[in-house]
Amino acid sequence: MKWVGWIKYIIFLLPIGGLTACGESVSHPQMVNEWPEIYPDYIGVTIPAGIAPMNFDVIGEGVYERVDVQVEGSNGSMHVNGKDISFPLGKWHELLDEHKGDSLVFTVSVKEDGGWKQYRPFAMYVSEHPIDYGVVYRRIAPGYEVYSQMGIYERNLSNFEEHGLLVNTLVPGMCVNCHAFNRTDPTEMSLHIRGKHGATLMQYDGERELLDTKTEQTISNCVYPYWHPSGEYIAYSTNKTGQSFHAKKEKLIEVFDSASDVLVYHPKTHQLTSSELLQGSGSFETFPAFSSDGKKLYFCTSQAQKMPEDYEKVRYHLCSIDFSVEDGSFGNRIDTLVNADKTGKSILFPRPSYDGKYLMYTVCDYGTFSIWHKEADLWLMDLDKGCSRPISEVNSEDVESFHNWSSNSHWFLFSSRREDGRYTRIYLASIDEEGNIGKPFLLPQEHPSEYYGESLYSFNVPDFVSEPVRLNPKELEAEIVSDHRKSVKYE
Amino acid sequence: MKKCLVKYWKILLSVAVGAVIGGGVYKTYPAHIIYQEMFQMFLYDGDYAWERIMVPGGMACYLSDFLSQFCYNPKFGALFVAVLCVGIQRLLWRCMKQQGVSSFYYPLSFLPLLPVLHFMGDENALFSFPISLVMTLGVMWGYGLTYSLRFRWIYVCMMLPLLYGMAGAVHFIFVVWLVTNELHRAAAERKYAPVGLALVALTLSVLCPFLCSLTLQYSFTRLMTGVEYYRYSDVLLPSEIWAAVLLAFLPGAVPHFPVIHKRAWIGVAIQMGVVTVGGWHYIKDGLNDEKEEALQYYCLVTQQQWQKIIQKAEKKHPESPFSMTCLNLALAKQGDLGDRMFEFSQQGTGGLLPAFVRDFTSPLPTAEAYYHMGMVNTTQRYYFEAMEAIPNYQKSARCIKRLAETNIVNGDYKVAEKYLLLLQKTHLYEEWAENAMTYLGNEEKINVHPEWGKLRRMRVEEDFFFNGKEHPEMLGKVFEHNRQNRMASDYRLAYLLLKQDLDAFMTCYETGEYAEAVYIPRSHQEALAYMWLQKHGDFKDIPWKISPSITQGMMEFARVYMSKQKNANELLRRKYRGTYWEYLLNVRKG
Repeated sequence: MKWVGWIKYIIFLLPIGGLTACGESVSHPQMVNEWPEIYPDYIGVTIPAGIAPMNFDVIGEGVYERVDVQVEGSNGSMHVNGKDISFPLGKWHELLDEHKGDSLVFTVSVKEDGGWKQYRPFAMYVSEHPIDYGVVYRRIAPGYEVYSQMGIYERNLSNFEEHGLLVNTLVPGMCVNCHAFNRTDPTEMSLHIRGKHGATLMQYDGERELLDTKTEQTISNCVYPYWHPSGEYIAYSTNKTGQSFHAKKEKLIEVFDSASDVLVYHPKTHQLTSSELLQGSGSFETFPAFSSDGKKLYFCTSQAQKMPEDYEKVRYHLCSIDFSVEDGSFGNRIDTLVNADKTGKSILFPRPSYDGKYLMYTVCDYGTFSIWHKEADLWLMDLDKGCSRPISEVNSEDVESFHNWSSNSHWFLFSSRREDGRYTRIYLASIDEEGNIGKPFLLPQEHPSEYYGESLYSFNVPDFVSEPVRLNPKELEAEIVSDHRKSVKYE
Repeated sequence: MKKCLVKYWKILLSVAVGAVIGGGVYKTYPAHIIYQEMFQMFLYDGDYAWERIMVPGGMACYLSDFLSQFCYNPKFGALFVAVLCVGIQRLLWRCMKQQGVSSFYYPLSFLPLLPVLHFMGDENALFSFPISLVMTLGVMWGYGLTYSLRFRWIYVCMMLPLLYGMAGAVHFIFVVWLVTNELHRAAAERKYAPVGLALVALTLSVLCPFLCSLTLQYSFTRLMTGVEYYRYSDVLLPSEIWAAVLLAFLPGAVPHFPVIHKRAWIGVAIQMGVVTVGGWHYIKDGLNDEKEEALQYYCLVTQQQWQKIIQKAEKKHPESPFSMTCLNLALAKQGDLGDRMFEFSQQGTGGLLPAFVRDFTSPLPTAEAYYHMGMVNTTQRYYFEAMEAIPNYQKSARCIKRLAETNIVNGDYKVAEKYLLLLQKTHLYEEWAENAMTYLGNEEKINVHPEWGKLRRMRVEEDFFFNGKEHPEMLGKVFEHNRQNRMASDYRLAYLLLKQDLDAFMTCYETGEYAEAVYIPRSHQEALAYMWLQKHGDFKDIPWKISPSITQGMMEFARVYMSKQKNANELLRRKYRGTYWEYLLNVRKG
């Protein structure tokens, strides 16, 4: 659908160009000593040079006739004037390239009742660190058990192009989830397909195969994948997942596991392996993730509880176990990095930065599925010092949940429901060499208010990709429908 | 007048047939028409149009959605069906005429309407199919106007991909017709060029879906058979194939039929008679009266026409659990559930609060029942799930409206705003959405709203998990939270009666939960009398106010039942029709 995006883009650029050319200049504005109320809130954010135009809308002003934005930097400027703010793509990238490590100042003026109002200028900081090619996420309505159109989508971060990688219009009834790339490299990919033609899609070593990952010895198909940095292994968990529905207004859904184990898959031999320490009958183990050097496997574990009755008693510790890449064996000891009994919170989704400095994870009051927990926040562990802190720079009153790192570990993205408490959106934030974290920004859209305001989709499980994912829908459909699956063995 | 009739008989016949079709649809199938409106959300919005149009057959789908939004009024829907049918017939006739077909065979141009109407008799048939046929016939007719080979080449190369883009896989009708036409021409003219054109058209017709399959997230099969003529995209009905076959071959075949000039009107009348009589049986075969009945019940529920629902059921008892759910809701809303529910042929708990099914229709009346009982989260879930289950992945403005309401009641204003913004872009819900917008964040205004304010007062504060296997417990908690919530109480007791869990039913009365009740509904009295008599043998010390006619009836019922008469059950069933005792007899027999 790339061509569709381009045609759309050209059509939209025409009026924008026209507006830019025919803009009215701001004359004798009334100065307002406040920042403009804009959506998304991009005031003071740190952005990568390769990011798509950070278009925003002025809100809180009621109806305005025109809006004017003057962008000033030390090496150049840009000006837009029209009904909406839409920065021209080429000029935007030129300006950002020239201001890496510098800032851009945005002066917003609004024409109301024939007169102009000019707001206090605000800055956006352009990071020296580049960002990856794009983001891949699952786009799905935030529902309960049934799903309508949904799929795995790829978004080019340098523009507004989004296209479906695998959408359930291809094979009706199919549900796709649990996509994972090896440190943002899409040539190594794992993706899970549920439904009549269920399978685990594995792209590895230039080959693609569809696996049946359920074995007699394991609880379920393999989910929550995480690649070993060598690409030789993938850690998965197998989960018996259920959900219940709350009656009171503050909560809607509770998703829980009533059993779960952690395993590691070796694609070359099609073998699953695990350790007794990762398959305790009295405990739930889930959310595995390899350390950046591949020598440890992080995971979360909780004492098993009677589910769903005791759902509020489930609290996951953050643990690790040694892993040997040579023979795929595990250590004989589990280290507890964050003890849930001490914190009284549940630790979920550990994600180590690829440079080995940090470990980011989600903290919520209890349970395993933080996206329905308003209190869920992101925390960051400094792996050298061993200390953790809540990432107050990015946390909000509502849910912050799933997160991932960019290939250079200077950016991370996360899903949050801060806007309306229901629809998950993707935010990006920077982290510098000293660990300073920038103000996060909402994934830019061409018409952000309209796009996010009216979209009936959540954007789940976001991850960076360093290049476009290569999947041919026609081939893929034939493979999925064929029902030819390679069985995996449990060692 | 006669001159006029002779000159315009064809068009007059078409108009008459159109009127019969429109009238027939309106009279016999109004709920099916309204049903079309329930599962679409046509937005007056560029992005929506773009998204719909950018798939093969997208323009037909877009126009179909456009028409469907007006189907809340069955008159409009019936009119659309009639106009589309007449459009198909008239265009087909144009094409036939281009081939030199005599007016004698005018009635045969009505033939394809039979499979079209048979198809439209299915509630999941979409307007996109007849619209696509009109587009295709338009292109066929246009092709007939191009005589030179060069123009035909240009026409095919331009119009075939365009037709595929706009109407989808029905472009094969055009191609089949074109191929037969060109081959015929090649034979007549003894030239090969028309054969080349036919081959190119054939190649193009397959190439279009093939190229789309390389970039679009649709399977090749689906692109070859049509993306969205039917709500279940992977279903291709025989009636669709019949319609396509007739449209593709009739214009080429009929010119070879013999023409009768003497008393031609008799031949025309015979043809018309055969088409009408045969057609009526075929079309009738495609209609489903049971579904129409069920949909009529649900339509009345959406209009909150409780009394009309009861009146309808009084004439003919509902046959499906779906309709029964609607009737029980109406009885509860009128405060008559406990008194009158067993006057109708109850179908167990599945006709009161059916278990959730992953379907886009069946959860809707149940969701309404939960809504009126103040179970806001459950209503939200049922509506959301129903909308998500729409097989062609469309949204439903009607469901979105209820979702906006449940979010307003729950105080989730941002989410409600999202839904209202969308509804503001619709035709039917725009005004309502604008008004609802004024409630966002305005607690006082919501609290005094006749429906939302009441729901807020009924909504539970103590949390529990929804459990479809423990309805009475859940409903008990809802009733406990607000003792004014009579519907929750009525539903709880009705559920226990239908489940024949009479011990639990008795417990509700024995523990004094209903001590405040000044009036005990009839079916409750019957159940209490039944249980009491079994334990105590007479009604001397019965603590509840049971009507003497019921105690006497119970005594008599017990006497006959215990007498072990040969036809005791039959006698009792006849004598105690409409009582809870009859329900017990029926269920226990089953």
